[in-house]
Amino acid sequence: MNDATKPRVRRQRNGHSASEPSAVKKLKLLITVVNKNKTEFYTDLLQSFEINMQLVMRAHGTAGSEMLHYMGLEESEKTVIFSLIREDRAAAALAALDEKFRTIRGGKGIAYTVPISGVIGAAIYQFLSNQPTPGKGENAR
Amino acid sequence: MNFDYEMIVCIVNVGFSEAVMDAAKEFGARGGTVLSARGTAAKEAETIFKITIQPEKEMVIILVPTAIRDDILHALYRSVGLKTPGQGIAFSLPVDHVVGLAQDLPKRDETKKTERKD
Repeated sequence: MNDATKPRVRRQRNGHSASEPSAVKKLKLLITVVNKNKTEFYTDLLQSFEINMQLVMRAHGTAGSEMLHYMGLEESEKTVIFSLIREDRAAAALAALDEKFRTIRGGKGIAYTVPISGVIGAAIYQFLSNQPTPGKGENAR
Repeated sequence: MNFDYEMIVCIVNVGFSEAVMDAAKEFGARGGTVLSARGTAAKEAETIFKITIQPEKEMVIILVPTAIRDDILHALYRSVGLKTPGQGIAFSLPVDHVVGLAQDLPKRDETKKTERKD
């Protein structure tokens, strides 16, 4: 980091009034569990919510057969999608997922978010939160 | 901050995921998801603690209401804890928003009944 950026960044920070949104938005871990054959559909859907990194893992569900039938979840081969999403986009993503869970045939699933308390590395934070660098952006924490 | 739901993560030796779910269901859990994983504990730890660590693991994630979290964690400790053949560890993470749970859906029979009335 060069010295020239430091005073500018400090001024930006001090310039924020209490009502202005913070420059640093928190991240959340969005966990989505869906049927294996719908993996691509849901990863594509999630990408439209500024999610830049997703981790897809094969899994299987453990709900009893009666419960599965009741929920229309006969398929037990599952995919767990771990996505890192910016806090302000999480609600919209969950709403969209909820709508798809209710309307898509065989697309039933579950999604929830877990707050993330820290990330190391400014560039990684910018990548994960999909916020292109304003200036050098070395202090994005 | 209060959370209505918690995600319980339980990592056990391969083959013990059913035991995990049995213990969790006893206290009200409804379903979970099992992922395959591999443990990476250090060789030194094995000699110090006089245990053998099986690298093949199963990771069970269960979403539960916060009210029953402690009961389930205790049940997991008793039935698949480190002192059992399952050699499991369990922890929970706060969950702030959930969509897609079974109780949010209209019941199949109720939907049919209302359709008939209309």
